[in-house]
Amino acid sequence: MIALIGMIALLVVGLGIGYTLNSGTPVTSAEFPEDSEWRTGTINLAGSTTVLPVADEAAKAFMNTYTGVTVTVQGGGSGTGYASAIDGTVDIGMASRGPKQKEIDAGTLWLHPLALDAVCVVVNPSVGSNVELTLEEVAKIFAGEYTNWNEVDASLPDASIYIVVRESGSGTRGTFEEYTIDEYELEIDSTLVHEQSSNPAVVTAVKNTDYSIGYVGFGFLTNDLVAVSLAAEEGAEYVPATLENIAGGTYPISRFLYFVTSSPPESGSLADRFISFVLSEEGQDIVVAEGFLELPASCNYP
Amino acid sequence: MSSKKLNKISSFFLNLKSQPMEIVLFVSASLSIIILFLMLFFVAREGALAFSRFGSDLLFGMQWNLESDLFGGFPLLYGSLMVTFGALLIAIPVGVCTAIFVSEVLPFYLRDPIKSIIELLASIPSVIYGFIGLLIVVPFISSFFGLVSGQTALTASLILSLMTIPTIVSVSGEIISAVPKTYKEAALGLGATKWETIKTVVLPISKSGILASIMLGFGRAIGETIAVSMIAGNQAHTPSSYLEAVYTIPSFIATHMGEAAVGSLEYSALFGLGLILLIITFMVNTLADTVVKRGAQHG
Repeated sequence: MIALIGMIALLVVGLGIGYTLNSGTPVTSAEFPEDSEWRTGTINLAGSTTVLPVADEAAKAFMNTYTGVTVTVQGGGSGTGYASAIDGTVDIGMASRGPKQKEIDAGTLWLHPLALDAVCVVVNPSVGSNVELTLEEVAKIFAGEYTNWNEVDASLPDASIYIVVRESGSGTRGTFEEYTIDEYELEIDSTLVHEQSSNPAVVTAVKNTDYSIGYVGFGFLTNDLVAVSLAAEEGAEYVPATLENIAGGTYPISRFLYFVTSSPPESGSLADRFISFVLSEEGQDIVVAEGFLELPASCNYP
Repeated sequence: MSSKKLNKISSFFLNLKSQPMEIVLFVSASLSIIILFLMLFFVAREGALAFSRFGSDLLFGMQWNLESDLFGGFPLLYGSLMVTFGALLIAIPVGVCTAIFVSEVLPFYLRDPIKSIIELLASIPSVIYGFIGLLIVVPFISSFFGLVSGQTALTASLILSLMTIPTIVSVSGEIISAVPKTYKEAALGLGATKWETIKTVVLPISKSGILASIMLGFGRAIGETIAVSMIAGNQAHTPSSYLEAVYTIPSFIATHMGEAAVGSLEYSALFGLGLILLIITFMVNTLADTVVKRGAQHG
C-alpha cells in the first residue's frame, strides 16, 4: 500500500513540477528587442499534400531557429492551396501543379518554386539498353493492357512484363499515375502488379527481376537500371531522364512544387523570410531529404 | 463465486499491507492483461467499422484500388493461407522428426547442446531471415526453376518453415521427453525395438502435444511480416502454383499503414484485415490450448 501511495505521489509531484516549470517560462518578445515584430508573428500554410512534408519539416526547422514565431502547415490539396491563397485564408498556399485558367482568373497569384519533383520510369537492363516509350504506352503497360514486351514494340524482347509499383497512397505513385494512368483514364489492376513500399525497394526489385518495369524518384536512379526515355505523345521527341531535361521542363513526368501568395510578400515580413528560408541551403537540404530535387541554380521558371 | 474463492481474494487483500512486492507483481500482471484487452477492443472496434462499411467485400473482393474505393482482401487472405500451409508442409515433418531424434535417439550429452542450437534459430530476428531469403534463396529459386523472379510463394514458405521449425522442435521435444521412462522400458522389456517403442508408445502419448506445437508454428508463420514482404513478391492475386508471387495480410498492412490517412476508408479497411488475421490466430491458439489440456488429462 505504501508503495502504491508513494508511486502515485511521485507521479503527482512529477506532473506538478513539470507543469509549473513549463508555464513558468514565458516566451515574450522582450528577448528580441530589435526587429521584433515578425519574431512573434504567425503564418499559416495550406495546400498540396506533396509539398506538405517539406513545408512541415521546414516549419519545424524555422521555428527552432527563430523561437517565438509560429508556422502552421495544413494539407488539403493543390486546389485548396490556390483557393486559400487567393481568398486570403492562408498566408502561403502550397501547390504541386501550375495554376489552372480558372485560378488565374480568380485573382493575382505569385508563384514561388521551391523544389522539383520528377518520377522516372525504369526497366531492368534485360529489356534493352535504350528503351523509348510514350506516356500512353507506359500507362497501358502499368494498367496491364500490354502483357508482353514485344506487344509494345517488336524490337523489345519476347517476354512477359513484370510490373513493380509503389503502395497506393504513396506520393511517387500519385505523381506517376497523374501523368500516365489517369491521363488515359486507365486503372492499375491490383492483381497484376508487385508492390514495394519505398523507392529503394523498387530499385532492388527492378534490378533483380528480368523484364521488369517500375518507377522511382529521380534521386534514386542507379546505373543498374535503365531509365526510360519518355515522349509526351506519339511522334514527340523521346526525352531521356537527366537533370537538365527535368529542370528545363521537357521531361514529361516532372513538375515544380510551388508556394503561392496573392501578392509579392513584403520584404522582411515573416512570409518572405519563410520562403527565403526554404530556398536557402538549409531549406533545400530539407527538400532533398524529403525525396525531391533541389531547384537547379539556373533554369527557366515557368 | 464460491466462498472458497472469495476467501482467497479477501486474504489476498488483507496480505497486501505486509507484502508490497505482491502489489508490484499484481500491478504488472494486470497491466499486460489490460493492454491485451485494450488492443483487442481497439482492433475489434476499428475492424467492425470496416466490416460494416465494406461487408463481405473485404473477405471476397479481388481488387484493392483507392481511386475506385475497392477494398478486396481475398488475394491477401489466400496468399497468407497459401504461404502458411506451404511452410507447415515442410516444417511439420522436419520439425517432428528432429524432435524425436533429439529427445530419443541422440546420446544424452548431445541433447542439450543440439536443442539450444535449434532454439537459437528461433531468436534470430525475422529481418535477418528476410535478408538471407533475399540474398540466397530468391536467386537460387529463380535460377533453379528458370523463373524471371525468385520472389515466390515457395521462397516465402521455405523461409517461414525455417522460422517455424524451432517452435515445433522445442515444444514437441518437451512433450516427447516427458513420456515416462517406465513406459519406454516396459516396451523395450517386451522385446520391442527402439523404433517400435517410438512408434507404439512415445508418439501416441505425445500426439496432442505435437499437434499443439504445430498450431503454435502456424501462428508464428501466418503473422510473420517483414521477412515475407521482402521475399514474397507482393502481388495481390490468387496464384495457382507455388512458383508465383503472393501478398500476405501482415505485409500488406505494414506496407500500406504508413500512407493511409487516419480515419480514411483505407485505414479502416486495413484494420478489417487486421481483425481477420487476429481472429484466425486467436482461433488456432484456442484450439491448441484445448488440445494440450485434453492431452494433459489423458497423460
